[in-house]
Amino acid sequence: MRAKVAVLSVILLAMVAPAFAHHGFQAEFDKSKCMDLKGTLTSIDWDNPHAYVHMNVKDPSGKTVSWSLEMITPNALRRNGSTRQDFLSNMNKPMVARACPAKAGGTMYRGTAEFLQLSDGLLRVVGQNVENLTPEQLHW
Amino acid sequence: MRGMKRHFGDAAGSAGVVLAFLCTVLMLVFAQNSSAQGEKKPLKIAGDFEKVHLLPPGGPAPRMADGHPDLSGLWYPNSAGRMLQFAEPVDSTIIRQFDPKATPEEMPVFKPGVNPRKGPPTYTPASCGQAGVPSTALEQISQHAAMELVQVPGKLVMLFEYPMDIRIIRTDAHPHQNDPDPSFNGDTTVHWEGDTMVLDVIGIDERLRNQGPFQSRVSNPTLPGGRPAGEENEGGGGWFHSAQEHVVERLTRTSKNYLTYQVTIEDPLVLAKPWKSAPRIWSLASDPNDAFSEVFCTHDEEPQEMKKIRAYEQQNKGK
Repeated sequence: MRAKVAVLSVILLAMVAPAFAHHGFQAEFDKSKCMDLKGTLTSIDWDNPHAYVHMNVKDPSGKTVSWSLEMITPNALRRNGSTRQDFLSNMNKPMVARACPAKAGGTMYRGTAEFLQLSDGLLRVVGQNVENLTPEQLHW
Repeated sequence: MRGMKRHFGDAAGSAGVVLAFLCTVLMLVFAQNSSAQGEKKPLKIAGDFEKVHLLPPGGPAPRMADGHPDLSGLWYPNSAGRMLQFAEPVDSTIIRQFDPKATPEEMPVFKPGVNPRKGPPTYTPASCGQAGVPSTALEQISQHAAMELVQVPGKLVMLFEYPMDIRIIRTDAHPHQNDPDPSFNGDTTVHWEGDTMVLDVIGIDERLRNQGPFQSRVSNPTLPGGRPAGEENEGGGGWFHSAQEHVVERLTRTSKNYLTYQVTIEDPLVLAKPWKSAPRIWSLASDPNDAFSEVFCTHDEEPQEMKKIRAYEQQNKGK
């Protein structure tokens, strides 16, 4: 089933219940280093407790690196309007993610995604919006 | 589907190529239309979050043949009738399970001289472990995940998505087992008080840590039930219990679309007085295609990641 869409003019962050993070976001990821990652969707791991999206990104030196971004559970992704088929049908095409990397000491090129946009152009909620961003603040 | 793997990538197959081609064509057509209009369109968000609304009561609760309410259904810990994990914008009155001003959850009050904040190595959803009774039911709000109830004559089956758990409870009148083996979900007897199903639970494994009041997990001491200053690292409002813990859960289907879950924990060795949760609201899934999901932890990268990060931090302490 294709994800349905909604045009959003105003966003209010009205989260009352902080969503579950296994060890607490701050224990694993660096909220101060979140960034836009632009690259190509190469694969997904549709698994629990976290689905993962993998993308090839050119680093500043021009070298291509493979980022692994943690997302929410498949059941949550699906109910948030992003199915496994959505990812498959955008495979090997450009994508953008707003993601926060692992803390120092963690695996290189590993992070957690807050939002992402596949080549179909839909903004997808795939993780915790730790930066409290609005869609307008995403420079995509 | 080829194989039973969970990894999907270049081997997605020719179907993926055809779909990708069609998507590209559609996108080109769409892009041409967009640029013709000459202005940036707002990003469209997947998930239908703007359609989230307070579910109406939907009429009276259905009843079993014996006249008691039928609690069966797929339930979400909110008033929306659907999962709302990281959903935004959603009004706080819809996404929450209770109004912290109207029915606040108090912090537990421990007996003097007792410190149940620290205990044995425990099992928690944080390590893909079980949370037991009653934390599993109280924990679902953290994930906005589903609980499925299946009520048949003589039995209530409770299934939870996160952590994935099942309780099969005899609902005919029967006593507690004498000295039941400790288990994560305990030994449960059932009786009705009017239209409320009362579950009386003993014998819960002492390795399980009670989750405690929800707000205490928010590290803001000014919020109702928030952690007082100095207790930030005490694991919130949760606590370890004794073998004498006695848990009473109350399930009331107030209408077709709403179920209330309230739990009281007594523990003469640990608590100075019983701890009562707020009445937690659950709403019936409104999409007939929505179904209870399998959530087995089969790919957990976090323990290894945390080990690496902690080792690094230990090595670099004070640098």
